[in-house]
Amino acid sequence: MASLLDLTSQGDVGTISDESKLSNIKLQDPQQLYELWERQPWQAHAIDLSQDREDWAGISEEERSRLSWNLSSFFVGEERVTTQFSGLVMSHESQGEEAFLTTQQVDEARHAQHFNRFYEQVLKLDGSFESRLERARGDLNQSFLDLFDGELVRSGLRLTENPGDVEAKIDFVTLYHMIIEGTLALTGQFFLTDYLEQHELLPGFLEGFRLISQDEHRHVAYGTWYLQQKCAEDPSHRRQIADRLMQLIPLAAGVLVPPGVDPTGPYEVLGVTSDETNQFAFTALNRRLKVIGIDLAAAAAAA
Amino acid sequence: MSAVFSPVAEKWICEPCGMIYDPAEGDLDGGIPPGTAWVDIPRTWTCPVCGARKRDFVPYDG
Repeated sequence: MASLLDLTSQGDVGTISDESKLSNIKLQDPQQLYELWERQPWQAHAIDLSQDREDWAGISEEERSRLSWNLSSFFVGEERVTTQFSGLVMSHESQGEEAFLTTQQVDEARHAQHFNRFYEQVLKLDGSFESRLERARGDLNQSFLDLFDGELVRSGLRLTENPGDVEAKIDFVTLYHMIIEGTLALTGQFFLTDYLEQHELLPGFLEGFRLISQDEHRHVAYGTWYLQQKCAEDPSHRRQIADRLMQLIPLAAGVLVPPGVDPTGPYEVLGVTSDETNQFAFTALNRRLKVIGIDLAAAAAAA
Repeated sequence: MSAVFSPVAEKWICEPCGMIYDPAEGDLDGGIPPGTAWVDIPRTWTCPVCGARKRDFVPYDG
């Protein structure tokens, strides 16, 4: 079975004859993304979860368990990214970027609110937001905790201590927008959305989850824009980003493996095989990096 | 004479990020050969820039 790490090393065979075109794609700048945010408002607390309560009560314990790992990864992940984002807001280089990054931090808080409300009203976890988060943490694996409590926190602190440090900002955006949002979150969102749509389950949760995905696409678009700009200004940043990715991908590969599963063997989550999951994640990351102007396979070979 | 609508040549733009899908170029990385009309792209295809789904694209006149 090919893991995300294996796929990185072997490259993207049978594709791309148009890399030059990809790195010339004109992306929306932060001011345009801010204006898009104004056109896409939504309220986590306005979503009706009544059918979700019936659905959750009607599904088997086995299905609840399969869903819980996915749901808890997002719940804890959204809380982590909200609190660790302040350094990036402080690092803004224009008024448009300041405005957009501020909206992104608000988005992350809103996403965490959606999950907290779902855990409270549908999963019926009494207590506080904090106690529900703690319960959700019990569903996660060690790679997740290493990435979100370790790498993300260190990267955020480094930027908070020196918001003008461009290398620290590039490292943070590479971790946050390329790995956490652009690879892990988008992969999980794609397959979980498909599963819930196909099984006609949890319509209220799904409504919020689709809106979260809409927000995440804006965020990833910002990260791609930022790294493309920096690499165009100074091509040596490509090396820095590639090195950072090589450091992070082994951890990210582990995040995609459910707790208690042998990561080297084939497994299935919500009807999707591990090969399909890893291929989707790798393709998403690799295509985005090409837009920025980075060849992941070459970086892996050089590492 | 009215303009002839040509779904094969129609471009689509990703609302979240502005990436334009041009059927003449396709998206080789995403497994879409040049000449592929929008309607023939599988629903599992996603935007190479921001990961948006096919349903997040709108027709583009540019």
